[in-house]
Amino acid sequence: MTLNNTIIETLDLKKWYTISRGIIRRQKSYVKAVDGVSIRIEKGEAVSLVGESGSGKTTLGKLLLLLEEPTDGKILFEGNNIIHNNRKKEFRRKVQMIFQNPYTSFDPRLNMFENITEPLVVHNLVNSYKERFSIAINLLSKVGLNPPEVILSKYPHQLSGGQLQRASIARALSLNPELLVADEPTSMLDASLRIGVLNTLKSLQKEMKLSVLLITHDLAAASYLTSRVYVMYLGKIVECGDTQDIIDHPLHPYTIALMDAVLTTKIRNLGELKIKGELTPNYKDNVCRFSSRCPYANEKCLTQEPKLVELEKGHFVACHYPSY
Amino acid sequence: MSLLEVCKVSVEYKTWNSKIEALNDVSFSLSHNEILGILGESGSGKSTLALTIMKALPKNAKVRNGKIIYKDKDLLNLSESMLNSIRWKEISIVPQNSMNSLSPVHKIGDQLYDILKLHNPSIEKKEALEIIKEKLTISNLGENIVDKYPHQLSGGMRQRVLIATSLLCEPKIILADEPTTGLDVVTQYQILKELKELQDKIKFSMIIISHDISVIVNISQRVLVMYNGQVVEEGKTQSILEEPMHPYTKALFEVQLMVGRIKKEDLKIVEKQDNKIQNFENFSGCVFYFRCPFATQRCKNENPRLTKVKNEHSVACFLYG
Repeated sequence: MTLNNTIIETLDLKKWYTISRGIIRRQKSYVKAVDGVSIRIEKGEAVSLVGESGSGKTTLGKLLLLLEEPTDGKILFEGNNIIHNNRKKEFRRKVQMIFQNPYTSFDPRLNMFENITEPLVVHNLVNSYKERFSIAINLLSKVGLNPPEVILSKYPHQLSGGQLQRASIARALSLNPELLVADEPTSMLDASLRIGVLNTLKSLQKEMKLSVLLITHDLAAASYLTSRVYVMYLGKIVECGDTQDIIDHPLHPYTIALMDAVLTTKIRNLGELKIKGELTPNYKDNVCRFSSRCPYANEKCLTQEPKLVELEKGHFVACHYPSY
Repeated sequence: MSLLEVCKVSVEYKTWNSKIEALNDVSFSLSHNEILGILGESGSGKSTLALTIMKALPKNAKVRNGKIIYKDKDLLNLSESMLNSIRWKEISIVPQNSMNSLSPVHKIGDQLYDILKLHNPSIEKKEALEIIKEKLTISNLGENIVDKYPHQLSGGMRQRVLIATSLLCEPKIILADEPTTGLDVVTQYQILKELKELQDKIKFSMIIISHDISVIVNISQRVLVMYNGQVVEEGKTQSILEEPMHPYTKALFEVQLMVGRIKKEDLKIVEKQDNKIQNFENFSGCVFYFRCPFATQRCKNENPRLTKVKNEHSVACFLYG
């Protein structure tokens, strides 16, 4: 893999939140939201990051945009480490994010025209009002918001959730970014609108050769949009590989459970899921973090932490007993 | 014999300059120990329907006509004190937004005790605690939850607390309004499974409201599809799965994502054309007219009635007579 094909790469990235206890706040413990994650996204590639709520996927997304300061590790953007770099503004133009809740990610006092084109003004990319307006019209028709002139004059509360989410895609695209991080873009939307937004993302990704990181808990959406998947559990990547490979034969018990939990229109008996309980933080060293919920956990899982190893070509898994 | 009968209920909301029809001639019945699924997108009136049954509509809403018969009484005509003897004891609700439905400054146990005390003033604290712990346990929560505050619980646990709350007075009917929206897939699966098991064990009737067709078909025995305040299709789950009739129901099935179905071509969209649907006031045609691929001149002028096509399967569409 040549380096210049990679748009963003993280090396052993960590984000630990500290919790202080005691009267003089001396006793410290950590929430290891992201704990040694290395991922890579190629130019023009759509990758998804899958995991339950609490697995740290949103934190990783925020780290990639430098919205959070990493505790340790490196983020290489086009080969350069961007942490403590003085070219942050340029980086921020090239990387954009779509947030989970479209209802709260717009300024309610600005109309859609001002909301969508504000990034252009911040980055001094437009000279005249006319230019700003034509860019806005262009963006809206790209994301399928019609008629653009009418939408532009509206305020966020006048639009529906699906329209707002499209508008936030338009806003993210206004700076011609190279990487788009979409954090659960469809989880607040109705099932019937979900497909529309995913389709828009899909066609834009193809057309503009965008790199996309889709953060989601729904493997069905991930498989619809992206060609490669990272599965995350409690701050660690537990499995990654081609979407098709992972869906055909998932190796980690967590991935299997995630797939099992997706409901479809085929009626089935809602039996026991293979995993127990819910995500409980367990940051001990030398323990497989999934062991408390894993149906196959044994001695080895409690004494030795599994490393991410390549079992098949391009298909990595962190489990002592994969592919059950 | 049905337990709850909703006959031709119409509800409208008044705004400062207009009226919005949220429900239009909605009729259905609910039998003993039945799980009825109500499917519809946001704005289709499904939450209004739940609030109408509880008679907890906001002030600007008005029930224009209709009856809701429960135990030979019309809920819509009952006095507030009579209603209070039915609410929670006979019919309870699991509200939509589990994050905002619990008080952040009271312990779970206290909140549940308040509800019990209100409906059963003579109850002793010790006895109440016993009931609360029992309901929490059957909802798959530990007894120690009573001493916790909502912020100490995860989204799934909070949803389970609300389910336990709805069970407190052992109601005959539970209305679950989007019980799994906002939860991740694993938790959603677990909550639905638990709801179904509970229903099996304690035997109550349930109306489950959701926009997600996969949730509805996996839990309910009968399905009601709503669009723009009207019931457009009704039938046994199996029957609707085998042969969805209304174009809207069909479209909902088509956009269903599946793991492993990596389609090369894009899935079809049934998207709202908001700008077109504004002039509903003087429109007398089919509610789905503006989005329907099969719409004809007749659909524009006439609103189809819900008619029985097959055994226990009705649809409101001219394509089926």
